[in-house]
Amino acid sequence: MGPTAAAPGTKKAWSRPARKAAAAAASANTPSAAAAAAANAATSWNGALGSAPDVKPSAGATVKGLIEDYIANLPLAYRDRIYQQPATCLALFRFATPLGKQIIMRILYAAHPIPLADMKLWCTTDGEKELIRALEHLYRLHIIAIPDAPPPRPAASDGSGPGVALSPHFRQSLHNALTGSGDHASFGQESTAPDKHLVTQAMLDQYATERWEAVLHYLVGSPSGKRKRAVTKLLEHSGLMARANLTITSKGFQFLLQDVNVQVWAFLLQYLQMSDELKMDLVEVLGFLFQLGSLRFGASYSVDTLTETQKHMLEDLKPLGIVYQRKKKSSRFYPTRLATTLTSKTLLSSGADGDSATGHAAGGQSLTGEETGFIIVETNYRVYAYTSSALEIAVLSLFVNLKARFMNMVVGMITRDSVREALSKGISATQIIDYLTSQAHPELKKNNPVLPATVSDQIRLWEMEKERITPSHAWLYRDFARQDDYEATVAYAEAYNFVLWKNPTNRIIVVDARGQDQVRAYLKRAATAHTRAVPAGAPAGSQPSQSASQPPPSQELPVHVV
Amino acid sequence: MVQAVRGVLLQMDAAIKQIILEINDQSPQPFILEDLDDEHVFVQEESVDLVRAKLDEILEKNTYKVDEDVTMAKVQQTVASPAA
Amino acid sequence: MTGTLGAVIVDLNPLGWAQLARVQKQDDVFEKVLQHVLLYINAFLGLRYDNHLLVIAACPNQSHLLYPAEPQAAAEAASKPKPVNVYEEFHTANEQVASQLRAVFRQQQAQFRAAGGGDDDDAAATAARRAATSPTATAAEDAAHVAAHLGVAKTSATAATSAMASALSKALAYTNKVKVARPDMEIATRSLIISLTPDNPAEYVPLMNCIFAAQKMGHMLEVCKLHRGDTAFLEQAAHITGSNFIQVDDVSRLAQTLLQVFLPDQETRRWLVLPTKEDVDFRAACFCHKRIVSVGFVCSICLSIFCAPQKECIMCGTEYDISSLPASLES
Repeated sequence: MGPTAAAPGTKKAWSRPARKAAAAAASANTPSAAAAAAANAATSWNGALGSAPDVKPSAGATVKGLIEDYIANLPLAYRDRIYQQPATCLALFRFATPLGKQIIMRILYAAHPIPLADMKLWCTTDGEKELIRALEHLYRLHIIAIPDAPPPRPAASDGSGPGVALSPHFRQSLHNALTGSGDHASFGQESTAPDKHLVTQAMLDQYATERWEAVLHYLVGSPSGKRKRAVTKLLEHSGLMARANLTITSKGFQFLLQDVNVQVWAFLLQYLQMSDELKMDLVEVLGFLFQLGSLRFGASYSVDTLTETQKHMLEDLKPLGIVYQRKKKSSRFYPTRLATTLTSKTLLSSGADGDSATGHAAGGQSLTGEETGFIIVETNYRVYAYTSSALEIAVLSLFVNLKARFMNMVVGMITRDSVREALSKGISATQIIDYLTSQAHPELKKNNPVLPATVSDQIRLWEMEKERITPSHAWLYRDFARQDDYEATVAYAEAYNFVLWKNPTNRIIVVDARGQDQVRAYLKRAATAHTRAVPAGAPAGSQPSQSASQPPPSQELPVHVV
Repeated sequence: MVQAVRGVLLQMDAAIKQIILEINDQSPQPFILEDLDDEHVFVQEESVDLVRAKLDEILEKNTYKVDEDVTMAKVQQTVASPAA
Repeated sequence: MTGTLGAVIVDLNPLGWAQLARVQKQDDVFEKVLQHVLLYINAFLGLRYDNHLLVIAACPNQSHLLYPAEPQAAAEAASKPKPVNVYEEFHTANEQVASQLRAVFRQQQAQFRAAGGGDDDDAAATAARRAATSPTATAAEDAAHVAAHLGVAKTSATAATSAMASALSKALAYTNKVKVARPDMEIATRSLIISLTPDNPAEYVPLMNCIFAAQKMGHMLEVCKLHRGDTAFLEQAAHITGSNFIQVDDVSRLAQTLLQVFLPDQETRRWLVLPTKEDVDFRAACFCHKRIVSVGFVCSICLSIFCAPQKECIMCGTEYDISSLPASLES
């Protein structure tokens, strides 16, 4: 992490680990390889969506986390250019921690960098920890810069320390955003003339829902119509579908259960990574995405202020339902709700009606922005889902045994078999419970907890049923000649927490595979030291020797650990 | 000399361990490298998936499931012929 | 963390503004302050996508809800396409707030002149001179003197003060309505009062009622004072609701103060050390004459405050035997 030299070669470097992780996820690899791939992919969004099936996927992916991880890992030159767009800076400002926002506001108009000690004076004693956390977060995104100094640490508290200042591009852009100045066209130009072909909000909502659900349908395997090549490519590259036979992977299942904003951003970030190959300027693409986030739903915007790259993006974003453009050559485009809520979870109304202006950030928000929880779960494990959307029914069928289908409702039961099937596909109990909770009917949401405790507990128990044995890669050491050798080895391994199991009576110790090299090296050293200490005549069997000259039996000391 | 064996340490509760021993005995290729104690077994790496699958199979036999369809059929039957 | 519904209550008393212009030696001080306030508003709206704004103007005899505007005014404003460099939300807020504030201010100025208040400057100058010579005079006496000096037949004791209680009740009622309409959401609420005129003692009772209601609701009342008059009630408002009270003497520093002191929300304030007025003026106004007193008589039943001992409490009707009081206390 941290800024790397802005060499063009680095672009390929961080897209390759992402693809490698995707490939690793699509096929069932051994846990250690998957862990290695996951470590590589930790900085790309693939890590957020979880890796190989037998590693617990992270259910806590958020839009904010995805975007920040992505930007933190961009090369410096890109970041500078991105921060020249006020829409981007405003969006990132909103993602900062609360104290971070105040700090940014305070140093926005400061003439000189502020020493860290002064900043500490701004805060109460409780606040200091929060201050450091906020500063580190801002530093990671390079919003603040400390000329010629390492990142702020609690230890550096002398009054004469270097000062903290906003990075110049960010400062200028945020100022432009707040005062409406500058010449960046970053917030989109509304079309002046009214559209001959009237486009209403309802039309836009329907368009977005259709398109987005079609994409998800294709993912689930019930395709309705031809898909654009670009979309299928996107799905393959992101590891949601196996490249070979175009069936959904376990990552794909997890993806389906996530919040729609997270899903959209996951796609967009994948698109960003592919934009390299498509010869599109990353900065313009990212800038346009943030611009979309700042537009007003229901308004049309002119394409005149967009660059070529951005106009081309409109073509690519249409099949995902993010923007609507009547024809390729239209001079205006409409952002759908998917676009305007890219960086926020609520509608950005124009403040006309006080009540609607407060918006809502609860889950269960559909593409049309209304409260759409539709699932009712009873204590007898029955599920009633008030929906007729094929996609939602398909998602439900992943872990619910559907029994009957009516015009506006679907009835099913959560059974041991249905949950076990879902678990074997790589979905975790937490994801199932989170999905049911977020999509719960408003009547159900009035309960606390939302789902009946019997149901959520039982789903977890069914998950635990599958985990009755806990495997760990390890090495077993036995036949220690002498007790002290054994105990010394145990002490050494324990110091690093490598001991998984030991039995002093039998002199057996099981060492975690991670520590294998170290312990083996230790034993070698101990052996050579011992041989040196007892020069000659010592019986071979009494020495814990592991020299390579010994012909190894089939299970003894293979040379490499994977 | 010290022997170093590569494999997988399985940790489980005592009941499952007995089942694992049973699987090992019935399997054409025994996979247990070392029986450590009541809750731990050291096995070959390649056999982990096999063990899991077999364990699942055995545990399934012990699970009682309420068969919804049968119950519903019985209810419908009763409703259809109330006089009985 | 939750979104905030923030109200900004702007005192639009023409006398107060004229006085400010004189003190700051800037004729267009209203426009300057407006720019600072708009910057603060943009920063506030920019903090979170779910922060919302409410703007109320407090005028001498009434208050006006300026933003969010009436639907048809909003539709009018929305029909004009916005410039390309401005963020939509900021643009709407800025345009409506600025135009409304200007319109109401001009209206107030016109009304003031029409009521025979004379030129703003003269009235302001008189008031200033008067305040300088007899600092203990109350606002009512000031206004009366100014009116008398200018030969105005009808004098309104409230000419030199603004209807703060009215504005504050509007803010509290609006925020409460929003909170009640969404019981599933937690909405933080607060108000920033930009004060340009001293307290109106006649408003003591309603203003204190507002303050206690705000305290119960967890609604913070912050005060930014731009003048030098008596604002005991507003100081108490800030103190009781745990908010900040700042006196700003140099208008060019207004934006900085607003951004640094009044921007953090309730949760973030735990971590910040913010300046406020430590010595709060806890004087009250007597219920009988609406005069500000620091020592008075209190009814033991209803806790109403009087400047002189009463045979019968005006508020609750309890009768007292004051014959036992020493003669010196009766005034």
